[in-house]
Amino acid sequence: MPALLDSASPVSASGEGTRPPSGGRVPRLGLRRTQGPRRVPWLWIVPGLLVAVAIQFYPVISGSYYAFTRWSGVGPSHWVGLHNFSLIFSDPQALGSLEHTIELGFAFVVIANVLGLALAVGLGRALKTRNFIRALFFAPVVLTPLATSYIWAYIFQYTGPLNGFLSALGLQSVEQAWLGSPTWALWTILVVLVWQNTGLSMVIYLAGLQAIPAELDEAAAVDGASSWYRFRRVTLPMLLPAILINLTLTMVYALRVFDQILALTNGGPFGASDTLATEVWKQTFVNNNYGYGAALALLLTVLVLIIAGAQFGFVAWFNRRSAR
Amino acid sequence: MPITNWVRPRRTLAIAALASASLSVSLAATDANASAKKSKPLSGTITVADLSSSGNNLSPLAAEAKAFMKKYPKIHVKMEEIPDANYNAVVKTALQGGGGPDLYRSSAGTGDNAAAQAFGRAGLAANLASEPWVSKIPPNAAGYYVGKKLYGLPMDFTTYAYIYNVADLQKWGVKPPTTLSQALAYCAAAKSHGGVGFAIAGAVPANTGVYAMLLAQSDVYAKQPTWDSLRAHGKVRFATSKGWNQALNDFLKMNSAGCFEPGASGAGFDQLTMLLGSQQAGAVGSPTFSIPTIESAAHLTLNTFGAFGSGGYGGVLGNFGNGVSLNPHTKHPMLAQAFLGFLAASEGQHVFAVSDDAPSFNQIKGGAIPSGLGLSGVAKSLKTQALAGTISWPPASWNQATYAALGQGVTGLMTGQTTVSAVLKSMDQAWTNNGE
Repeated sequence: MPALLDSASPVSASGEGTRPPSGGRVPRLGLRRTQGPRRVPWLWIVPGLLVAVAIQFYPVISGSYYAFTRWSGVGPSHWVGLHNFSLIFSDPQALGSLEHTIELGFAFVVIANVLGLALAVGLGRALKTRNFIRALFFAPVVLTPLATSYIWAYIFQYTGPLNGFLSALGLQSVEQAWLGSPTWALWTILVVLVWQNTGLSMVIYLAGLQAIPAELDEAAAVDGASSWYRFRRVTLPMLLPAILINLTLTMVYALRVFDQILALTNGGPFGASDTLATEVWKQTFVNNNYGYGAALALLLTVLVLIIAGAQFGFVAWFNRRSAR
Repeated sequence: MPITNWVRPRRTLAIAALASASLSVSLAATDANASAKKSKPLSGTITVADLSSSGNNLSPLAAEAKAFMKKYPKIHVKMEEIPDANYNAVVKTALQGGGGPDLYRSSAGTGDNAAAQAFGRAGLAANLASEPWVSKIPPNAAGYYVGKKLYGLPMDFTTYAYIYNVADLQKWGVKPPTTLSQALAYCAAAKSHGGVGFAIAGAVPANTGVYAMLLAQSDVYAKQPTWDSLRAHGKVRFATSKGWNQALNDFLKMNSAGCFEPGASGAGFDQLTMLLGSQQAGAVGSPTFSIPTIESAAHLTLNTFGAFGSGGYGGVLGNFGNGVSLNPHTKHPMLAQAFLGFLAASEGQHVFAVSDDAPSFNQIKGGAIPSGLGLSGVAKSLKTQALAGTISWPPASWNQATYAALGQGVTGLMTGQTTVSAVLKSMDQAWTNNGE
């Protein structure tokens, strides 16, 4: 069957009809030969792009302007250049919140991903109750962060159930004002974050594991590879897309966590659990220091962009290396 | 005579007659409108923003609205209740957008929710200085004035003192302390009976700040009531103030003496009320408007005692915490002013005070504070200070950042994360960096 659009077609690239060849084939006028990828239909995406610019990018850019001003939220703002940023990097409280943001971020990413992967691997096996257990681990993800944080705040109270349990075990020396301790406040928040979000990591890893052909693992097993070897050499490399998705999601989430910190410790004691997100809120809406708050928000945005960019850069590098 | 010449005079006369008739009609209509306006009662709907009320109680402005609508049935008052945490941002954004409620609850000074002086300077509150009821405003309402312009109608008076459980102190065999050494002895007595002298919400800077301010009342403001004015002119600083250093050192002494509950640095308001309600804590430093609510919920008898410190007995702190301001862009100025007039009258003042569990300033000055508000222990101090014009709540004239630095700093003192000198320096820094 002759192709509609082949080199012998009488239709020229301009689409104009030409004399049919002596073979008498009827030209199909108006058809173009497609060469290379289709052109992006820009007209279709312009409306969506305009909405995204208006709702997302414009507020961010106009908000960033205030980072270079001194503004109390009422009346006019005054341009101060980089003064707010120099204040941030000379203010121990702001530097502390930056430090806590990075500490909490990396700790959450590591623990949530390791636990999530372990749960996915463990519950990927043929357990009778695996679906029920998966639902149990995923349930905290769908609960309201603020409500669960207030419950955890009660648990961690000095006179709360946790200290009561430790006391019952004869561990009175371990009892703490968990939320009021400069040492433990931040890690208490980490416990709540991990509890609430590990289920999501688990689900993403489960999906990744199910996409790995079982034959690969079986073939390695037949060849005498140990479980750990198979996991390291077969499962993990095949799971890389899911790992990268999880790393990105958990890092972005951890860097901007706010509800849990406000409900559990309010950033205290004395800023020991303050992060950039809570510091932005305090400076802007408590201290009415909108310019300084905007500067902190801009710094947080840049931090998230750098880390997300580094992750994507790593992905691109890894893909190029794998392709060689 | 041509026809045109004959017709023109008639046409001219007709036009003149028509114009005259129209003028008569319009004048008559104007007269009718004027007299109709004079006699027609006000009607319409106004919107009033207030803080969300707790439980089933009506907020004070909602209680006012109910009483007002009963008196003026043709005027409907629509209440917008907003949670405390969002109130300032929500009201400010709405007013800046050119909309917003016709009237809204405001506070004195510059530091608190919808602060009248800050909002007035920014054009978000109307100048009420020419209203007919202005002469009724007590002299201590300076926080609502900027020069001669008045940016709110002050409504109630909030007292800051120590609320104590009468039964606990009787059980422990102690009297309300008036000096720091008496307070430390009171704490020791409480501890020996398995209780605790004071409950403090260490995780809430607003509460730790109250404790610091009560100590400062004794060590700073009782001796120098104009300290804040001197600070505003740069003549004194927190860091170099002997009184302020003494106040925070007094707090450290209370902390070391075990005056506060275990785990206080992480405690919230819920634990504070639980400790007082369950009679584990003898006293709490707080605004006193919550006394009737705690008494009825926990079946306690509460009273109050004033500020103590190394400087001796310091009296009480207090200010016109709550008022009502007018949106300068209201679409219903006459209705809104009618509501303000009602609020300013005796009936309105009484409704607000009863609903807010706070005495009116006239009751304080006259020594006629209603029973049931738990203020008998400080009534004398209230009256003396009110008549002398020395009663104030200094943070109302600070910026928010300075009071936040104080509250957080006190928590840091409890945990050992900071020092007195560092806290006072941070207050000076906040004062300078965040000044209007």
